[in-house]
Amino acid sequence: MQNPERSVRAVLGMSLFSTKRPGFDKSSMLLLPIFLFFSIFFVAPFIVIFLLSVSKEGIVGWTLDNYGRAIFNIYYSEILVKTVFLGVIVTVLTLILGFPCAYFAARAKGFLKSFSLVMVISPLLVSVIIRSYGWMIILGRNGLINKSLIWLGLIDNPLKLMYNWTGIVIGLTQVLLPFMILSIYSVIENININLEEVAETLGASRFQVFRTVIFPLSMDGIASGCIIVFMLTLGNFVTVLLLGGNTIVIPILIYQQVLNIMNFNFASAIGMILLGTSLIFLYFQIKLLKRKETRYVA
Amino acid sequence: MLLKSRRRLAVMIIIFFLFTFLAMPSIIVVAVSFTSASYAQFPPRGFSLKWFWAVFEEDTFMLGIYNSLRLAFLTIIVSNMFAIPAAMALARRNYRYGATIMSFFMSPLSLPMIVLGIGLLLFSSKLNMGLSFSFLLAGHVVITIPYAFSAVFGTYRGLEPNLEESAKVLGATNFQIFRYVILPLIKPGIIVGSIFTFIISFDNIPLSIFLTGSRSVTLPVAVLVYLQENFDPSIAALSTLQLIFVIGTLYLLQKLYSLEKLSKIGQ
Repeated sequence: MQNPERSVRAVLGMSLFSTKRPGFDKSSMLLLPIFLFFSIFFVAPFIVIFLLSVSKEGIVGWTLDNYGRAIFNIYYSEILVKTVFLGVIVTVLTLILGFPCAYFAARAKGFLKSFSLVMVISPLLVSVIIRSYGWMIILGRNGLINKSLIWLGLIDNPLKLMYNWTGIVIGLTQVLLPFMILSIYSVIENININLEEVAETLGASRFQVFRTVIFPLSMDGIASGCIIVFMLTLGNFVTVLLLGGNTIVIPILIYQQVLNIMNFNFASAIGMILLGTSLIFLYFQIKLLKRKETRYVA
Repeated sequence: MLLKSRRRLAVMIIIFFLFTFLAMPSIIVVAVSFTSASYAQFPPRGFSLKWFWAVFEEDTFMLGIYNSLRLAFLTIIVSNMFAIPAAMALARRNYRYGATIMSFFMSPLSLPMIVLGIGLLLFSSKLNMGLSFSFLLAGHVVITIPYAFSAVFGTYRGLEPNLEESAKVLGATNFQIFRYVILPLIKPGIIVGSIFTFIISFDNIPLSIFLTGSRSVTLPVAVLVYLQENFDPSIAALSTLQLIFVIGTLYLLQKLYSLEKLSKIGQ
């Protein structure tokens, strides 16, 4: 043996990592770099935003005018409300479309399962810009849909599917659908299929099986999927910009205020409102996570 | 299966439409990139590779590709540098506030990137640093650390602690344990984390759009600027190239590591 003393110490439990000892020691130094980094480049910027949002000019002068303007000025509050509304619509749509996909993928076996997973995950590898650009080609005045409908003789004039909320909703739904699907998929995977079979044996129709067995047990996945999609919709910039024409949502408003109008204080206030909303949902996400860890699904 | 065959057919049709819905934009973009027309529409007219050549001739695209690749690789290195030690510490030690610490490191996932983007921009200008590359890199690292961390964390937690303790008993130093025992075993986790890191960094817009200048422009930002004024198929060709790159890389990795095993790591 090379170093008897070291091996004795190891056996006495003073190895690199011992699992159940609380408190900080040498190995905790490993957390120091990341903490420092996060403090400077993650926490500090948000503090700067906060300070800017409550100041008149730069970071001097305490005022709540920026928030007041965001909430009470009709032009801006309308944008806030419309963004939230967009979030709700996209969330509901992705839930309706995504749940069947998730269930199908979870219950599939072998090649069909791998194929389904690839179909769901691969859009995520494609940049948001590419997918939004694809929708521009499909939804435009001379786009695929309009050309097909006119060719089939169903309409005379092209439908306005782009540069408005319709295009945004369609585009965002497709862009964010994989997130909802994956969220629900991972939960349904854990639901024992015997439960469904038992319910059917006891006489439940497929709808009853869904209502009483699958749906309640997949609530966690549904909830976390909704949170993810909602937050991503609120923060979405590219799809709205490309498919929405002159439509303004919160991220675009922030962009305009920072880069065009250079009203950093007001932009920060809007950013803080967005951040506040995210923190609320982050709190719910964490609670969901804790619930998931303590539940046991048969 | 539990479904009757008629219902099964209906389900398959619905699923088919949904999958088509998911894949349609990407497929159409690829198809359009081979058109010979000068306008992006589907179905594409003619067949030509001229738009691919157009991509290489457009300077902003080339600059964007170079900057994005450079940034992505640097992000991978720095992200892992911070995430691996943190994952090791949190996976083995049972801190009282370990869950909170972990949520803190994972929180960039849930917070709006655009706020971080303007935060970093305004923070750097308060420090009179202007559009510095280090802030751009730092921003990318912050948003990718959650991925690098969780991939390594999941892998590391699955390892037997006995392996390290045996190595210790046999007389290895901590560094030797890390290099010869731990590192080879967490390699799949590092690779998965790095893949996600690369994708997130390369495609990132909310951060890059605020923190890049005309010389440090990244590809997505260059494309966005281009799309505001042009609608020709060169973007389609560029997208096709990007897709080939991504698919090619994944295929290579699939050869080295089974994809199903990798997709389990995130959980």
